[in-house]
Amino acid sequence: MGACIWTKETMNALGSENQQIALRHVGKNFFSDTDEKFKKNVQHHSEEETASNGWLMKYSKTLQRTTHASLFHSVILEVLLVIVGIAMTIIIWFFALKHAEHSVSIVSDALRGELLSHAKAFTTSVFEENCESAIHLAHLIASSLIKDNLSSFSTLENQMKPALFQGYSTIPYTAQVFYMGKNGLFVSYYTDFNETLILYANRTYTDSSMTHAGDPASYRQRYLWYCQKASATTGLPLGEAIPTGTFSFWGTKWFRDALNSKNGFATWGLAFGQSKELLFLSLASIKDVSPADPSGVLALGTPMRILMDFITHFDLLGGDMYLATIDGYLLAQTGGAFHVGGEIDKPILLEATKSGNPVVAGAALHLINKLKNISRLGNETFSSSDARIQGASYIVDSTPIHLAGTTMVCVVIIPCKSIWGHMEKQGHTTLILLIILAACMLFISCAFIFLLTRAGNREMHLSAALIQQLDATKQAERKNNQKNIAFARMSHDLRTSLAAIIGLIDLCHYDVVEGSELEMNLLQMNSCANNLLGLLNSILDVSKIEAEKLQLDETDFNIVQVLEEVVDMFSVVALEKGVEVVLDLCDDSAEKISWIKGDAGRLKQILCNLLSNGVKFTSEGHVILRAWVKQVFHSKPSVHGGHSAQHFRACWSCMPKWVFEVSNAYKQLDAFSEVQTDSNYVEFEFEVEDTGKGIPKDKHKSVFENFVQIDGLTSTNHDGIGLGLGIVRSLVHLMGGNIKIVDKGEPGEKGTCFRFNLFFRIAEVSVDQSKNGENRSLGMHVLNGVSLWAKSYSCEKYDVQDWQLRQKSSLTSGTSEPHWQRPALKENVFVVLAMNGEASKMILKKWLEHRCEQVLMVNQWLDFIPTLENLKQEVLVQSLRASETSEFVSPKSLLSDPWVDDMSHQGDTFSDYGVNQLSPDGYGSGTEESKQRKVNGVSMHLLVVVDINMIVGPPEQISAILSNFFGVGQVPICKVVWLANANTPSVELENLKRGSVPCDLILHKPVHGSRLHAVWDLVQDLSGKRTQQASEIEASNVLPQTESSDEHFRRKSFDRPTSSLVNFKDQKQMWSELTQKDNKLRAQNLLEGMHILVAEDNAVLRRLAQATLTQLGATVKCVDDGEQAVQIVSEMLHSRIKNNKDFLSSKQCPLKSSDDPVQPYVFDILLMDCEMPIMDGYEATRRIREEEKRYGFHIPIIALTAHAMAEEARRCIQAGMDFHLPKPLTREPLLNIVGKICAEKEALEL
Amino acid sequence: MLNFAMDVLRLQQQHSQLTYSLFNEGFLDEQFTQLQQLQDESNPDFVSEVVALFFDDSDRLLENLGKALEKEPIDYKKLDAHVHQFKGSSSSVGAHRVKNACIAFRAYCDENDRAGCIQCLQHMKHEYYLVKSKLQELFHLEEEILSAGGTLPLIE
Repeated sequence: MGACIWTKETMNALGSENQQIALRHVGKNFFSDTDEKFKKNVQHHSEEETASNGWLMKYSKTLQRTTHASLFHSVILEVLLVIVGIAMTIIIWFFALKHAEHSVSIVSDALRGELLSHAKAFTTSVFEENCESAIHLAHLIASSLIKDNLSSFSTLENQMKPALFQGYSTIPYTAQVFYMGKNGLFVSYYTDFNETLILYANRTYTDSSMTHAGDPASYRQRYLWYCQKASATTGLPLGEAIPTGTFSFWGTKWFRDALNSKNGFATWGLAFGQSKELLFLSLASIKDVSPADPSGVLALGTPMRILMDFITHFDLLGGDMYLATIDGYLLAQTGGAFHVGGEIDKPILLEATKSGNPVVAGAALHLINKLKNISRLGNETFSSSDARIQGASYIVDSTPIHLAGTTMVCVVIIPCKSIWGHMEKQGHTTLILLIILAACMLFISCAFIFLLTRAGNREMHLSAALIQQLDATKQAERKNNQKNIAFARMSHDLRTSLAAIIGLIDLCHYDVVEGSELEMNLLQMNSCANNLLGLLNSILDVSKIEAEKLQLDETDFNIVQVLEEVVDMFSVVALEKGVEVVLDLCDDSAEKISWIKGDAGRLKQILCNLLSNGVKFTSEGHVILRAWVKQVFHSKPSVHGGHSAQHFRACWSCMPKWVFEVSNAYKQLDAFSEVQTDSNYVEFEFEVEDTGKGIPKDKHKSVFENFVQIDGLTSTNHDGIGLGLGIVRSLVHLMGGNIKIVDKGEPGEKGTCFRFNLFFRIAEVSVDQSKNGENRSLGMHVLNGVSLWAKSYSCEKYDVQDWQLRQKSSLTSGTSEPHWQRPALKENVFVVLAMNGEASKMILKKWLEHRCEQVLMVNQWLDFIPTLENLKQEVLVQSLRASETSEFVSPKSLLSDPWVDDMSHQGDTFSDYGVNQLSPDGYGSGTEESKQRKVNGVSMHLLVVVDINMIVGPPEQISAILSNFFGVGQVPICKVVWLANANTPSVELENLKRGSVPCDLILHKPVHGSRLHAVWDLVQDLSGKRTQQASEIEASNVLPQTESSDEHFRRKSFDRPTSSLVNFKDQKQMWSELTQKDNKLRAQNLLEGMHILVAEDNAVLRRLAQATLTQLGATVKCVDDGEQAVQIVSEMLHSRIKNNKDFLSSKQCPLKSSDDPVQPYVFDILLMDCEMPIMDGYEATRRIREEEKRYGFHIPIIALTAHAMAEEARRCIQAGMDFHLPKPLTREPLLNIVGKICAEKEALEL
Repeated sequence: MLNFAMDVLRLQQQHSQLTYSLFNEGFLDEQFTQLQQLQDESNPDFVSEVVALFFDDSDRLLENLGKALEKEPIDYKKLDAHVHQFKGSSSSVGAHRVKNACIAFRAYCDENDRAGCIQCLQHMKHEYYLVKSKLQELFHLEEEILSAGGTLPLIE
């Protein structure tokens, strides 16, 4: 805006309204253009944003859905797992139980069978044995009694009774032994209450009246029955017989059966014994008389109690057992009361169903229910496991027992509980446990699912948040990128408009009266506009760097020159603030490798930024720019590889500081090798130190970020937008270096020190080329504006042979040349240094001390004369000493530090790659030589360096002082150097130049580089080693106003401003030069005799170009498009070659084309528009270049572009064009380029 | 003779007034001055020649532009190219207001704004015909001055 306001004010003052309007228009366009671009870009961004937002929403939704689905799946899986687990457990449990049941049932079957068979066996054995015994006894009795009649009682008593007793006492299980006679006789032994009793019927009839003759039965009731105790051992009756009741055995069925039994088998029957217990009778008939007619029956009574006892002793597992007849009458049972009713001879058996034991009763009932025909039990074993008796399950097994022709059934009833119960109980427990387990599992899985879901949800939220975050980051990055690109895109329009403004100001300047206020205003406007352009450029640089579009434009340049330019520029600015800006080349290593390949513009930019910062923030003191060579890399062994390697090694060993870095250096070398191909690299280190307020330590890093200023927004007193250091860092990084803020030596010291290193390729400038360059620059310096001294620097790069040559010469002659090697110390040169400015004084002193015998400092003008006095004294003393002894060694060389000594032998050890080093053998020769000179005679050479601002009073007094001091005529060889500032009044300078004052050299501050060399030349003059003529040339070159080359150089810098800082005073000079120059050029026909082809589609522009060129004296040919241009050029080349051949054949000598009118000319220059219909400029150029190759010719092609962008320019160069010019063709740039072309041509021809 | 001289003087006055107004009202800019500076003995009719070229070129381009705008759909690239050319020729002649119109036109082209383009074309045509008539008037005056034996006043 500042520029805008200026524009208005200035224009009002100017009054030339057309230009004012024009300016305003351009300004308006400028701002409206900018606005539009911004708007468009913003719109673009927002569209992209929404699009990307939509995509993101979709993405996050999909993600949520998938997360949901996966969660759901896992839950289902979990549930399934639980179910399967439970099912498996239950199945396993079930099978295990079944198996157990099965085995248990097998075992129980076996057990029950065993029980039954046991019972059966026992029963059978007991009863069968008794039956057998009965039969045997019967046989025995029968056989013994065969002689006697059994029918008599006496027989019975004598013979039967002992037999019976024997039987009773021997046969086991026999409770009672009977003999029952058919005739009613009866004898029986039995046991009652542990007493053996005998029961018998004697002959005594109870009822004699009842007589039935012939009927044996008739006697039976008549016998009287007695019961008598008997001895248990003998069986003989004891005590008295007690009559007792009879029982009519003869009437019983079993008696008759036994009597009637024919087969000799025993029969059985049941009877109540005397002791009221049920007896199982085994009966056998006694066939004593005849087998057909038994006389009686023998019976053995086995008590059922035995059986009962037996079966009760079985372990029935809580069950019961009973023995019954086939038709269901109980014989024996376990548990419960067993009652037998009825008479002794006729016992009434209880039915099993009515048994006192409810289990037995239930089982019998169950059997009856189960079996239709109960008699089946008599034939086969039967088993039933589903009997329910009194609410409990029982297993009922039965087996038949066949015995003495009759059948019994044995039934075992076992409760299921006793067999399965345990197992079932176990099974139930297991089941309950399983169910509990399942429940637990269910619960746990539920909990797990819950947790899983929650975790899933959380994860989902997190990922959604992450995506949002990512998107935000991306968006921000994109925005940033877009912004950068937008900035870069705007460059063209913005710069065009600004350039137009500057151009208009330029135009205004033509019309303005010199020295008027308006001119001043215009100058300020111009500087403002340039500032604006610089600012814009820096913003664009930032955006370009960030958009990674910045490319380095590598050219050969002289680094010392660049450094000096920069320092010069800032010293003028700083002068107004009272700050010194000084260039310190330290060990001069930079001067040795000054010709390097790199982007000079960018380097300048870096330095400008840092220096302007330094100047900006320093209110008093100085800003020092230091530069030195840190390392030199050789990627390829040179021709004299061994030699240089030796030097290299020596170099390392001599500089202990570097020794540690050797390995590092080689590592760096390796890292660097990808960029370097076949050339040598040099690493420069720069330091910019100021004495400003400094940067706090915590801000050291943040200062390099863009848009950061240390005192933040509050710093209204400093302009700038905080981009400078950011750009600097980016550029330094781009050049492969690094920048940092280093601590100053002393902690309390004020100010900041930036240090950075950069890598450059060493330019391949051979001696021949550099000499050529010098010639060319001499010839053409008006046009191409390269100052002479700069060119002369190109001599610095020598190859090895040259170095060797020089080494020899320096050894023999002892002379030294400037520039390319450190000069030897001049012993007899004394310097009086009187200048302002601490820093520059120190540097200058240091520089001089390395070269001269002694440097005396004068801090005040008042000290000047005393200092001279001292000097005189000293010299006198020295000369005295010198005459006294030849072994004199100057105090200086004794006191001097090793560094100075090193420097004095620089020449001996200077190597081809320009690194200074100390070789031990070179030491002696130097000192020897200096001694020699001392001895030969004392002559004092004085160099007085006086700052013009220091002198109090007129400068003329100095001559008086000098002559007074030394005495007239005895003034030693003395040179006076005046130091002037940019603001030194020109009157004084004129005075100095006129020669009224002793003056050998006028130097403008800051004193460095070329100006120092001028001083050095003077010093050499003093020692008489240099011709006056050379000195003059040198001196004249450092006075900027007097030489057009320098003037031109300054103009160049104005045309293309490289920094935002432009000095007003410099500009003022430039303005006047510009106008003068223009007039001069207009008068000349600079392009006289040149043939130029213009290819331009726009008729108006074509005509314009034609007119411009014609006015300059050129012959112009115009074509509409690229194709025509190609055609014309190729035809021309063709015919020219043909003609050339003809000439060769006819005249036998080649002639220059311009000399021969017959020969058709070839265009000297082609002006080519880039954008044309049919064929554009790039294509046309390519074709022309192809065509040229065939003839070995090269026509310079200048591209005409509408865009002044670097990339456009690069495209042109790529297409094969040599130069490029912005579109509205103007005179000066064109002339510049033509000048260059001519220079090249000349160089080629030479 | 006096009359004749008066005539020339009047014509010269008219000429300088016209030139002044042309510059003042922004019809022409410094480029035109440059053109005039290029005119010399070897190129006596340089300015009028170039301006005539400009007229021819412009008539053609305006016609093209009109046609291009009638077409559906509009080829904005082509349109832009035409305007670019027009801008180039007008700026090289120094027809400042036409050039500005071209800049505006290009902006509309960038936005693909048809209505804006048509409006701009009208404006452009207007400016063009205005400057054409003015220039023709100027040349006419110059011719008269020359035929009257006077010299052209030098333009600053």
